[in-house]
Amino acid sequence: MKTWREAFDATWLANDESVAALDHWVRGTLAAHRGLDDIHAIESVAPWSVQTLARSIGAFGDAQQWLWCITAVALMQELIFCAEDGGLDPAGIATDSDLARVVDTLRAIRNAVVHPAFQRGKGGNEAPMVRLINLLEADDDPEVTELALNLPEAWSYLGERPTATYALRKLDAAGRLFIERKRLIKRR
Amino acid sequence: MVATASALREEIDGQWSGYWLDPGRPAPLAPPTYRPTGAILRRIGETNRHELVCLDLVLVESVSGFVWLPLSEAGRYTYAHSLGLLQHEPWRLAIWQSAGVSVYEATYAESLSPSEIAALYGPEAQARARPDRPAVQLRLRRLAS
Repeated sequence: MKTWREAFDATWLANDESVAALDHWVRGTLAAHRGLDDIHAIESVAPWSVQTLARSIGAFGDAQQWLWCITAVALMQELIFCAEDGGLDPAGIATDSDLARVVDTLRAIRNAVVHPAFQRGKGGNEAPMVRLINLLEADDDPEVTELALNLPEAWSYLGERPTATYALRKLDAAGRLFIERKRLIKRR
Repeated sequence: MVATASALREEIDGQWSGYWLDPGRPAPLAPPTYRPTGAILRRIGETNRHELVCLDLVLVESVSGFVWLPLSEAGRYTYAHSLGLLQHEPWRLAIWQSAGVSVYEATYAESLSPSEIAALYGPEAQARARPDRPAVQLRLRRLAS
């Protein structure tokens, strides 16, 4: 089994060019929503940035703080894939084809970790954790599947390494597709 | 875009379903009680059970439940086994059949253009595959038990 650092280093989050390209695009997109074009305003446009979250995801994983690591992934996906909307929903390329499917999985992770009191289904919607457990059960990583089998009886187990690895893999896949479709990095 | 995913049955007729084994993990003695985590579709008329090229199927959530779809090149970073194979890890697929478990070593084979899928794998496979990206094929080689 790969170490967390080995897995992280194989993702776009450990690639300076990819992180810088996404960071630049997110900052510019957010700034445009507010009519900001001053370079200093773009630097301070939002409390979270792609660069800081990428570092945090790696560091939380190194420290085995898995629930914080998963939470940072949840923040990162929202920052990137909702930037075009300027609100709470994915927009633009993030809603296209199989990118939408991965982003939807990342949102399921977000809903489970940032709505911790949501235990009962409401208005025909099941609790976010129930849906995430279904997604984890359907994964092909044996460690994720095995964790998912224990989750129905103990939702607190979500904050374990297999969930963080799963979240990192989905964020990596979505980020790669997004960078490619947006052509954020010039091919050499 | 797989436009018809909501109307599909879970499995494709003739698919082999099994369980992906990450590097170093021994094959279980009995089939796990949970749903399969991997599946493949053999080519029409394929009779070789020891070494074969096949479509890599992945389980995807749709509005009516989960369905197996051909993996496209665009999705290879999304799944643990396909990401591992990209990184040259030795992932294996364990498949239980009447004679017991068969464990196959998986490697990537040449991807297949969407227009070629129906002739090799049937119209249902083509209908479930992305029309705009090559489908991923695997080469499976059965390991001695």
